Amino acid sequence: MNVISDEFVPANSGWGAPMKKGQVLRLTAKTIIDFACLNLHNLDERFDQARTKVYNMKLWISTGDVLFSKLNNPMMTIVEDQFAGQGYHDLQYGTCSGPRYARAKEEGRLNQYNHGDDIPIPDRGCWENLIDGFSAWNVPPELIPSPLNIFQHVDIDTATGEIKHTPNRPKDPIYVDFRAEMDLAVAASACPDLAAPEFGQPIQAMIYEP
Amino acid sequence: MNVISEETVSPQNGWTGNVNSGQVLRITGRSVIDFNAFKREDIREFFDTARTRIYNLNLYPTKGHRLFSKQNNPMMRILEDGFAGFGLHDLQSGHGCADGMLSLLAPLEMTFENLPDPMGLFRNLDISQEGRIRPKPKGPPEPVSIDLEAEIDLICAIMNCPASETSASGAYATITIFQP
Repeated sequence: MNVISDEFVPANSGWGAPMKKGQVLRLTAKTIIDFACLNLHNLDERFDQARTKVYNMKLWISTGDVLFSKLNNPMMTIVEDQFAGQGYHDLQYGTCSGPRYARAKEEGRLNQYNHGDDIPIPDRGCWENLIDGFSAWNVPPELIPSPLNIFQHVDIDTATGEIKHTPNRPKDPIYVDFRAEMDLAVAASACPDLAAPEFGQPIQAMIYEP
Repeated sequence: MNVISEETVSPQNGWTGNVNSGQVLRITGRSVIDFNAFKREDIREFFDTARTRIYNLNLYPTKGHRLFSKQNNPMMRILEDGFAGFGLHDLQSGHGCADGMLSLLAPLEMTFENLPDPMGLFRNLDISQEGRIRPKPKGPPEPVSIDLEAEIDLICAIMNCPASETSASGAYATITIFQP
């Protein structure tokens, strides 16, 4: 494979890059990565959680499944998913953010992250990181798409609808490979991941020609 | 209760209007209705399905839940849900009838790309424990109501979706605003 770029992304920061149709994005981590993409030639065409769930007719996506835009076009295909069999990626959460954590603290809900009530909260999260990741394309904060939350395994009781954070993450860094189905602007956030056993970790973002 | 307005909406038509903080919006129907809400003083702040799911930690909005904005602020509180026991409202599917909603929101200069995903009232889905999603039309035999209390001043928009193979058939809806 021909590596176009391979970048280290520090914990709780954002990364973004353009990529061409046919190239593959490999995201490697052991904690949550919030991920979204835009059509490089029409920045108003964005990744869409709802279209992706309805096209694939399921809550969770893995190898062979396709990420869809709001305009119902295929944006990326998952070509390899090393988390398969260990957990699912999430399409229910929006992004965490500084204000989100502040509200959770104010409402006494920090224990939902499985580390008790008294954990330090970050002043930024995936929302701010994705804004940074897309900074070259000037996406207004309110139009940052709700992402694909890679390695965010969530327990969902589909009968009652109840959603629970879990600490289920990869034990060691593993990757998911996404093939671009159109020219894209992509962005990823190394989530502060308060529910992970050791909180948020750095990620690695590689683009290659297969 | 003091009724401020009441309107009937036929299938494939919609309603939009102001709901002030403290007022209650009652939506009565028995087939799929798409619902969007915007903060009146800054329409860049709008109802968001993901924020709502995660604030409530639940897939299905119902009595006691709050509707949240993309900016993570409370917008509305669900006071009553007459659909409970018949089916589940939907926060997964996106729009059932976007064209109609876009016409309603023309004064806000809304575009399809930027149209926030709605709450799909009375749109019952069958979601298996393995995460498989199937439409499962399950309208109540008679119209039922959901009561939404505004926590801030809002512009609300309601599209009464036309009949389709994947929803209960189009039925009349009633939109009531009252001061409790």
